[in-house]
Amino acid sequence: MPHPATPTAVYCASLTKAFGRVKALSAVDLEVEAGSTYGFLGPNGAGKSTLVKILTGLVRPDSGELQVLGGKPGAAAIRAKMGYLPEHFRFPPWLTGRELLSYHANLVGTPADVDWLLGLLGLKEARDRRIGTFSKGMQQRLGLAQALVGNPSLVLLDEPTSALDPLGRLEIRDLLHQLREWGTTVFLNSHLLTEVEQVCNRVAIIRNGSILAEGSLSDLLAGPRAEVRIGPTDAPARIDALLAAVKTEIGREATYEAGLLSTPYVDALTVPSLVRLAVREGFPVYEAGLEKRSLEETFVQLMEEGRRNDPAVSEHAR
Amino acid sequence: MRAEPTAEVTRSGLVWRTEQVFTLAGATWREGLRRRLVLVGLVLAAAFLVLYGLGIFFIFRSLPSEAGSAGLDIQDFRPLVAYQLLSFGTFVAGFLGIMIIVFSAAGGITGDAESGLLQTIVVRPVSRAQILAGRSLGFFGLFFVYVVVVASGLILLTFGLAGFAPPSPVEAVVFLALQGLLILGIATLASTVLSPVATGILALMAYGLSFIGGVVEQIGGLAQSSSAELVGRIVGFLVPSDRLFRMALSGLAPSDEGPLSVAQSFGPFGAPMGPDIGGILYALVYVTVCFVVAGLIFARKDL
Repeated sequence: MPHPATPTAVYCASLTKAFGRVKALSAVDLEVEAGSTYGFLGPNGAGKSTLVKILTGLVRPDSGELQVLGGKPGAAAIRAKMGYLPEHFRFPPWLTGRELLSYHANLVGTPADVDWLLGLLGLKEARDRRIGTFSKGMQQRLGLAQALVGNPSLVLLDEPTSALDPLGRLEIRDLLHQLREWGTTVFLNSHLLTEVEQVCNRVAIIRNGSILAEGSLSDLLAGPRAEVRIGPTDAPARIDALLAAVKTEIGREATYEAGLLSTPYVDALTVPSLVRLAVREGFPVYEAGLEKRSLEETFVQLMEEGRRNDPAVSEHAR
Repeated sequence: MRAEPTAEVTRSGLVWRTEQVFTLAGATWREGLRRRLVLVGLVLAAAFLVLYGLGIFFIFRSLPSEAGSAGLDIQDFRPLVAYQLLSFGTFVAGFLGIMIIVFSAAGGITGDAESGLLQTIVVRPVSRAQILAGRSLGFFGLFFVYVVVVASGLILLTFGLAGFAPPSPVEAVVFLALQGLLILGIATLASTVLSPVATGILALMAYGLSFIGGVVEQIGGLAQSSSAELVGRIVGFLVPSDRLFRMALSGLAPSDEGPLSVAQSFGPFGAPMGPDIGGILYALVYVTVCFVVAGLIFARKDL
């Protein structure tokens, strides 16, 4: 059943947390729209788990503003609408899968269709087996089922597929799509870029406790160049004429390679101007838009920029 | 079909819900049963009672002649021997009960947080105080069953085989249980900041320290050394567990003022000490402070 749409599921402003001398988060601003599948990316030790733990109320921030589902993360009413799968978890090995979910349903205080949840995660056969006999992958599935007990409107998942094989990951991806259809907000911590790219509609990238980039996936993946596919040609003179026209009218150097004309993005008119010039010079236009990068390319580039701007690193380089 | 909650959650703050405390306590019980803690405890308790029964049977079968040779009135001697055996049995039973409580509670907060058992529970709509209360209730329940079973066994065997009926057996069980609760309070408080091993060591050391303090106080009293008595009293103030044990003994000691009653006032397992309201109140306040401080530390702990 879809949840009633609330505008913001998670809101934090200037959120800061340090563990002793180690700064885990510095001035993090974040807004997660209700119903979205939000990817939180970063290398190990970047502060991803700390932020999720703050959102669940497990860790208290040092300063900053924070609202989860319109309230404080510590409040019982908020926690009743939240599901969480920690990165490092352990369930009592002496319980069966079914008993664990019933136990959590009792703690939430709402009846849950435990068998239905176990079926959803492919654990129906193993439901009466002790958790101690589960493989790592099965435990992770059970962890996901546990996070869905009580029909939460916000699910926080910290590296939920780290123990799963490729097929298992595919199933979880389907489950995440299903959750989005139900209107459940998913906050997904991951360093698996392809996973995030396939399921998330908004992404934030964190490094050393600071957000480096945040936005919709299409914005983040849009590169800094405008591109027009005009097809290959065997007349270099015509290409030279086109490149010269671009230089004069858009004011930037253009390049041509294997049917792709590209120029740095200047403003909203860059792409239409490029199309107009190509058509004027007699080229058929097949496709036009901004350069597409993979999330991996974007991520690596941001990490490198981040490292260059890191005062500690620059100091060391000197 | 998607599972739907039928109960609307409208609580805005953390409201104490007793059934959740029982859910948590029940989980501790289930752990005790599934991990065979209860089974091992009961088998060993049975073995202990059999051994105790055999001992008391053989001792009392040979008692009349030996007592006769010492030239004492057997009517005075029998209850004293029975009491000495019962106090020894109670001491060992109490000690084993303390071990049960320390070993089950030592993992407590820090241990379960480090192993990742605690986080998925803490994010549920239960307060950390409820979690602490539920788990402590579970541990205490396991310990209480053990104490009742073993103490009843000891008292019944002593009555059946030696004909000695302690004056207030219920009082003795209550004080033994209170002693366990005190050590549970110390272990729970320690477990909020220390690792399981350090918690276990600290709680057992506290118990041992209190026992030694009691012995020093007792011998100091007999030797009329006020300094030794003072040291014992200070230790009893720091960890009042031995005082509770001695109050338990007073429920078991023969009440008659016989010629040998002075022999009751010393012994390796502590002299009985009449229950005093001040001591009981102090122990109750002590336990409460342990649990409240543990709750406050746990509530502020990053997990």
